[in-house]
Amino acid sequence: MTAQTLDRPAVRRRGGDLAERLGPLGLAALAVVALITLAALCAPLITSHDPAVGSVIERYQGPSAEHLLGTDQSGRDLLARLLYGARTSLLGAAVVVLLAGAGGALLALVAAWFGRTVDALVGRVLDLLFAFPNLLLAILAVAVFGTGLGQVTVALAIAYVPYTARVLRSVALRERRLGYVQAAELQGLSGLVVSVRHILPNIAPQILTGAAINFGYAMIDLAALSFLGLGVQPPTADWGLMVSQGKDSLLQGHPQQSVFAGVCIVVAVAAFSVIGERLGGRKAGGRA
Amino acid sequence: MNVLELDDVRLDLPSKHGDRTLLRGVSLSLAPGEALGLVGESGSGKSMTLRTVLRTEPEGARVTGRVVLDGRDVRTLGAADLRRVRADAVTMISQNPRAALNPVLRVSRFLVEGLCDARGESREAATRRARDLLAQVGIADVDRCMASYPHQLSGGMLQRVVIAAAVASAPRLLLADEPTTALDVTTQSEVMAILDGQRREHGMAMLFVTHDLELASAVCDRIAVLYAGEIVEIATPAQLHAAPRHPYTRLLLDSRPNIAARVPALPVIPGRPIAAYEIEGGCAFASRCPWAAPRCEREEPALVHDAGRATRCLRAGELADELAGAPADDAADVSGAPAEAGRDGETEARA
Amino acid sequence: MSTTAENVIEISGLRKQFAVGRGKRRRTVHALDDVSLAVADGSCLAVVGESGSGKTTLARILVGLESADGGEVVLAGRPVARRPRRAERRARARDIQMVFQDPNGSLNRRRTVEAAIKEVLAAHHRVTGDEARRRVGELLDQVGLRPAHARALPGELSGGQQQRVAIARALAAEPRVLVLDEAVAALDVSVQAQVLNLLAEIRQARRLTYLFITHDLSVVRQVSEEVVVMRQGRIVERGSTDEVLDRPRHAYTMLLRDSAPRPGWRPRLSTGADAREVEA
Repeated sequence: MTAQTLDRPAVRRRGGDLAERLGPLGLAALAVVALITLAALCAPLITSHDPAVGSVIERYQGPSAEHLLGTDQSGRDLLARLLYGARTSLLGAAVVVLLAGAGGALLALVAAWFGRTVDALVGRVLDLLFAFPNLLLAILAVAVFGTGLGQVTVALAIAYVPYTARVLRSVALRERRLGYVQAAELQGLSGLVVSVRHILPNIAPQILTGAAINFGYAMIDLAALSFLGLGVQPPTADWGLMVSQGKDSLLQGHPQQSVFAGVCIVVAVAAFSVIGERLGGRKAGGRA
Repeated sequence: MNVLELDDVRLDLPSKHGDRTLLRGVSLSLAPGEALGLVGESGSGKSMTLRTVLRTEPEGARVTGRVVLDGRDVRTLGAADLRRVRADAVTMISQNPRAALNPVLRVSRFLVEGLCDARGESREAATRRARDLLAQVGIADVDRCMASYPHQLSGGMLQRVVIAAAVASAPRLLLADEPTTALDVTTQSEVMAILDGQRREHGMAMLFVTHDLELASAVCDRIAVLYAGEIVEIATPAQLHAAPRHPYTRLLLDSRPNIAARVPALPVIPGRPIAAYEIEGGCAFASRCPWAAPRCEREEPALVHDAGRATRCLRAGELADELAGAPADDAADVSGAPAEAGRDGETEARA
Repeated sequence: MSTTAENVIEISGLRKQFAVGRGKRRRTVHALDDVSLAVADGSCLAVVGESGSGKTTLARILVGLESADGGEVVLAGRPVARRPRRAERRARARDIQMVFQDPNGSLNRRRTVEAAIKEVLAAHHRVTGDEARRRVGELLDQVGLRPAHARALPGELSGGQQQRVAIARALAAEPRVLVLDEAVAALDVSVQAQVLNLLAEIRQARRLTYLFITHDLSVVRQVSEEVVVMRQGRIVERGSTDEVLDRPRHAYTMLLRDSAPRPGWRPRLSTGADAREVEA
């Protein structure tokens, strides 16, 4: 082959490739996600209000210089609650996705490496988990371990594992059969070394794509659980909880809280879905 | 009138590294009932040439030049006309027969429905004809085959079913893209025998794409050798074997191991096959050609027609005797190309 | 089969079964059915067959990627455990290495050529650092690549170059035997000739023994001294390459030979092939 080909940095231009795969819409979605994350991180710099403390005298105020988005039924600043609420919403979804990705990858690697009986066993376990609706599993967890963000994120993560594991297993199996894995195996390297050093880096793109898609779903599911009162507990700020708390005010003619929180959820979920879809399409580890 | 004529067909495919030329000016013609082999290595553009005929080239590809099928330029047809051409005038047999059959339908349904749709036959007549067709393509147990699902049949059997379906509509032109590459050699021999027999019986012309020069020689009237998106030589199989006129053809013939005799070291073509977009001016093959002269690096050779054959080589005249006469391992010696060129060749060519 | 000290591979009575299908359709396929063979030190044995002949299973059992159901494998004078532990596999890898068919898949696309070869050097010879870098340079030179290729990723190499790297990686373990599983089948004709010549050179220079798995009789003629012809898990014919190719005795060997395209060849129908083509 030619030096020409060798000099062409075809594989190493990762950044450029990423931008190309995302496209204009994907890049816009990425910008939205970055903005939300930044806003959540810098919440104390943007607003001086405490999201958990308000004065009943100031309830249901419209937008003003003091409260840019107005206040809720307890007189708490809505902007502050949205900003701090982003923290819980993002963090909760991130934990779900991280745990589900790690669990899914682990199951996939184990199934692919040992094959045969182990693979079949993993398959059965996944079938069993698939049989439980996500929210039902989370509600079950709450019934056993009590309400709280920690409990429901772990429960949701477990519920998400089969979705990531199913896709990652098939990619890992494909890699397992390739010559480079077999060559490493026949050197007498251990399954752990071959899986981590060789297979894992090659299924990493699918892990990431699946994570991006699931992030959106995890946000929705967590918001739903908070809405039902099973997840984040008041007075902590959370988008799902805000929608729930705003529903009474809605009837009294004060829709701001539910609307603002709802819009935030929709925008964030849409952004993550676009990124995930651009990265690898629905085939790459999404929940649905 | 020729069944098919390609006139200066060029194909560019946009990629992230800019436009990539895959075909640069392919011209060929196919008479009724004639079989033409398109032979080349990877990147030669053989499959891409075939795909321009049914306009199945990759999305985004820009094709210029004319592809004339039965007097009509395929490239300018509307959607409805194109569908009619694809349905009636031309059939395609590809490397993977499994892709051609619906996996949840039995072979009988695939064949019978195809016949009913295409020719408006009654179910009984179509079934009778389907059974005849299967028998013609050498299937012994027709009943069992008709009742089978695609996954129950081997690749060789499926390719026979595809051939039976292809000849059923009696098209004027058959496009075959490496139809036996995925098959075992013994199965390849049988499937090729059937394909060849059916083609002759029905008087179909065939464009046969393969990387195997010997296989093409066995079933084609003429062979076009492609390199880097260009036809470098067209001749009959006998002419090619007796007296190739392009250095690439000579080396391609020689570098394949011989089943009948072992040679001390195989004559090799240094480097690797390149694609059209990698040509750096001059003759596309110059960088790998042991006979290349300085002017080969600068001047672009044209495809020169002479007595029924054609060659794209600046030195074709001077080299004619050398290329024709020299048996395998002498060729390299005569030209002064070192026998071990291949060892380092691949890395140093074009470096 | 005679057992002499000069045989680097001795296989006797090797059996391997696979279960295919489910439920009522479940049946066992004999991938290897009483296969015995010996390979003399420094020679090249070609194993010829079509899909389903068991030739690849034979190779995989030999290098330890699969375990046999019965029979014995003696490698370099040492019997090989049927279900080897990891340490035994590692020891075996210093005697025998393998080159796979698909050049693209046989290298990790996220690791450089240098990393791929260094991994094998470290695993078997505890060679690291500057010494390893020097050895990588030597090995690349031996397979006809330039030092600059050490830093390349597989995606930047052609198929022929990828296969050269796979050969260099196998050689890094300094094995006595190289198993080549259709190692040139996926290459273009012009590149195939380069790699075949390279393999011949390396065998001579390193006094290696080859087990060359292929379906291509032309390649058999070019590379091997001895050949076994396999069909449906059994060896149907064996002998010197010239003898088997010039005067085949088994009908299947004749069919194989007559099916190979070559100048003057015509495809033809053989009879009786259809019966086995329909899978139950």
